Amino acid sequence: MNRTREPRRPRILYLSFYFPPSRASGVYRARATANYLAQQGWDVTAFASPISFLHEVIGSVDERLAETVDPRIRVERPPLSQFAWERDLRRFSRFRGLSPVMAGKAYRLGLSKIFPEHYLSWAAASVRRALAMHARRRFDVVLATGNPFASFAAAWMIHRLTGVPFAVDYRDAWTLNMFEEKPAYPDGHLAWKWEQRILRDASASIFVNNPLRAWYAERYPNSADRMMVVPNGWDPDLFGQGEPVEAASTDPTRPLRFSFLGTVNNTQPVEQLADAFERARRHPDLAGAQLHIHGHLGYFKQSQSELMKRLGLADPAGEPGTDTGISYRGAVSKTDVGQVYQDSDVLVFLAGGARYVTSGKIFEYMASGRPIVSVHAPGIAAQDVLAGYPLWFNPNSLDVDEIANSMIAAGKAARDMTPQVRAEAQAHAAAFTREAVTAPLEARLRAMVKRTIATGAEAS
Amino acid sequence: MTTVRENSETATATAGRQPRVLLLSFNLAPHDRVIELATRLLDQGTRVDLLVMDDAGWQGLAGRPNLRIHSLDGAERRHVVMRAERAAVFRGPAAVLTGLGKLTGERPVRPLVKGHQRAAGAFHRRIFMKSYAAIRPLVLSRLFERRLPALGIDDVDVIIASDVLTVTLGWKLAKRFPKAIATTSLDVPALPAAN
Repeated sequence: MNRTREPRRPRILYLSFYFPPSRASGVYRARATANYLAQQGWDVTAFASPISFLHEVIGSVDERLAETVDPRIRVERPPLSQFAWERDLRRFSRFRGLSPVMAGKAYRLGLSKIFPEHYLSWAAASVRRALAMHARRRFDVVLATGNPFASFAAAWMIHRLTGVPFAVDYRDAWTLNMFEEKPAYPDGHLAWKWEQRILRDASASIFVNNPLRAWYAERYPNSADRMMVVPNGWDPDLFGQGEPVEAASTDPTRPLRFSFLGTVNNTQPVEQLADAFERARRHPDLAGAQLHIHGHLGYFKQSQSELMKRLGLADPAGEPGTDTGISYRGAVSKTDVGQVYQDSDVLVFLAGGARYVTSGKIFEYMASGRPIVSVHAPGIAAQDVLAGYPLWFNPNSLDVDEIANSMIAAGKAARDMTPQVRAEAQAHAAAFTREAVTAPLEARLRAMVKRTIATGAEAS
Repeated sequence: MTTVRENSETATATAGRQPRVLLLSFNLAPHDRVIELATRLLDQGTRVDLLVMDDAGWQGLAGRPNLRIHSLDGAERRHVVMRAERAAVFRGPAAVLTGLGKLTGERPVRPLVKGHQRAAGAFHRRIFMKSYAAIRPLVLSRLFERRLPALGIDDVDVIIASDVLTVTLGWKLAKRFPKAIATTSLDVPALPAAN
């Protein structure tokens, strides 16, 4: 009997701690990568954080986002020790309850001698589970995304123990403090040793913009030829079809609506935004204009009150503030963001840091075809993708008056919008769909597979 | 960081009763956040029982209504472990050297006395205290447990262990008061309104 063996689907292990239903800002890249790989015929297994960690420590999940994960993806959730976050004394082990000093020392010893992150236990559990799964049916490639960077260490360890090639996706910088633009760790720190060995052995390392790639290439020249840039993109399936370009013009009788969508955090020039908007509203064109903040204030519930104050808003539990035109509209499910954009006339691109920061949100902003006002330090990496966007209003400064003038100009552009201008703006964004930006990564991963595999995309 | 679960919990205080918090703070110099927490609890009308090693760091709150401060008043120094160390490392050798001085005169013994003081001090700081630190939360929890019946703490809504030395006592009290929130969080817990 003459039997021919069909090449089987390539199998990938994707180490992505933040994965839906997490609502962490980096989760969309992970979701899109896993979905794209599944659509391209990969057998995808994702290792993600325990659900209890999302509920108890992070404090929020987006269940509707979880529904957008391709059902062919197998999601495993290795356990994580919550030693660093646990506050409930009843949940302390007997050892920690009776000997908290020794328990703390033992825990810190692991961080100082093994891996300097609280997610170490998750990485160790991931390695154990990966080895068990690999023994039953082998993986062809391991892809890890950070943060947390313990996932990189897990990928490296799996590679050392099994020989499976691996790639690391620097969704964030690890040893570079992107906001202060200097090394995040002192010389000799354990993180440098880990990063050196990971980049030495990784078949590919991926960065979100060219300045970041260049910083790493300079530090690790022997690995530079295996480094690549995969920018963040926008997700057409979450964004929706949007309104037709014919509906471009803004109702001239109602005040303009400015919107920020994303996570407000302490690195962003929040005060400058609030002050500039207050000044811009004095202009007749922006009379009665509103600025709606959609999304989360900080990464943890405890951050909300401080950021509310910085925005000039009253604490939810406190007295109402004066009318600044700024209001916090709360979190938005990723599946509802299309409606937020449709209801906005101008988008405010508020970002912290500078040279190394792109921000995933900017791609979606561009896809909306709305005027965008920049509120960030000059020289931010996001300028590379915004360059050529016809509705970008960049004060190129954090001067409050300059920002206010840009807001006024953007407001005018919203009033004067034509279908043609909006179509041009959206055409610029089309180059940054997730599919377009992820395709080179998929090709690189496919090239890493050592045996014969099936090729081509599968219907989703 | 505080976990969200705790913040969302509300103490199950009996309706009509003033909420009661047991705040444990064994650091000799209490952290500003702990003092601030105690102040905010008192401001909102909560009864606070404060268990401390020494009340010197809490003078700013002394006399506040609804606040009771329970101090160990040096009981730790009288604990058998501390007494044994003092006897074996300081007093015993010092007594021997004193006796030797009486026999031989002070002058030849003086270098030995100085050497002993240096060695005993170094042993106390570098070896004894480092070892003792491991069992210190247990020692302190036992000292306070003996005093608890006299303190009249028969019900409590929240137990807050504010530093690592208080964890063992807090962990044990969590078992004694199964309905109370027992936490290391320094955020103001959700409590029913005081009457």
